Amino acid sequence: MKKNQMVFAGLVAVVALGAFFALRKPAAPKAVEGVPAYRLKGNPAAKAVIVEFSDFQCPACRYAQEPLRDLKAKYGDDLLIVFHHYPLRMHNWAIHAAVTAECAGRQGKFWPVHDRLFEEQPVWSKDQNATALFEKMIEEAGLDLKTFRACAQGPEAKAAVQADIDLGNRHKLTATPTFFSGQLRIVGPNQLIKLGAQSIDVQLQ
Amino acid sequence: MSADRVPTWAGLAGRAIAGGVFLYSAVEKIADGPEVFAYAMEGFKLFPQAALLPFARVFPWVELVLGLALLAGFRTRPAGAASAGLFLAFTALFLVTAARGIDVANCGCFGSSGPHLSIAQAVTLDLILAACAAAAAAAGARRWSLDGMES
Repeated sequence: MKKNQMVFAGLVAVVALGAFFALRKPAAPKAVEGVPAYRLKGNPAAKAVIVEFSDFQCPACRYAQEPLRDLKAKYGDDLLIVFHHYPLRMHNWAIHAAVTAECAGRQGKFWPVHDRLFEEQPVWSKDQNATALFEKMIEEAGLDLKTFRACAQGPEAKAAVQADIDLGNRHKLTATPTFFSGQLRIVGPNQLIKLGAQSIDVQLQ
Repeated sequence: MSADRVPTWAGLAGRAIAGGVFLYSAVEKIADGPEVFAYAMEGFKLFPQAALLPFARVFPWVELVLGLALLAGFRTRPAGAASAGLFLAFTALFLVTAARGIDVANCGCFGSSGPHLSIAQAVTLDLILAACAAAAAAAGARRWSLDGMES
């Protein structure tokens, strides 16, 4: 091998190894790491876990709900879904929506409100006053509006959402929705459709 | 274009700019992981879903090798020609995407953490980079290059 070929091969090796080790992603978050019980769907002792980081205002997160429901229907009690908020800054109502779901959770209705937020995303995301629509959802879910308002305006629900954002940042999330199924990172609804069942089967083995 | 017609400084600048951009782009994509790059590629609605992840695993490393080859001046002519070809291929991809009326908010050029370019910005940048890479290929290896190193 010529001298310049050796130098170039060495250069590529050093940069590639540096990039590989320095930029390696951290492992998936622990399944129920600091997650309130109302954000767990399924048996907490299930063998297979999908950890979801989602933004209620992100259209791809909305599309991902159907394959996620299909997986839950297929695997039943063998699958636990853990929800984490990851509202993106570019979405003006995303944090409000996350706080709405969080406060609904504190009154025991996280998942019904979660589902409605995604279903009605095309409407409220374009509304000038989405908070009025959120309050309507809360009332229609049979929750106490006064308690909800106190929660939404208080620091605790916002802190819980921020804690999820921090957790996502620690795991170097860059896009929503991102799922962790075992140690596999899945980004977007199409990857979930393609890899979701396969990754759960691996966890169940 | 004859190598003599390309000033040495133009070849060096072309290598530095095209190589630097490729290296930056590669590192951003490697940092993001293939899933994120594959997700960005989905937005173009042009590639089969099954091909996206394998492509996303390999392509950033191709960019990394080409970027280093240009920066180091190793096999400068083929590296410059291949880079110019890739930048033109990106340009074609963006133009086809725009012609199909597909709105891509982020070209995915620099991963998710780097700048998010619109189609028009990405086309402009890629044409400039294609010219830089072509200048590097035309000039070949002169100063500060591994090609010029005594073997």
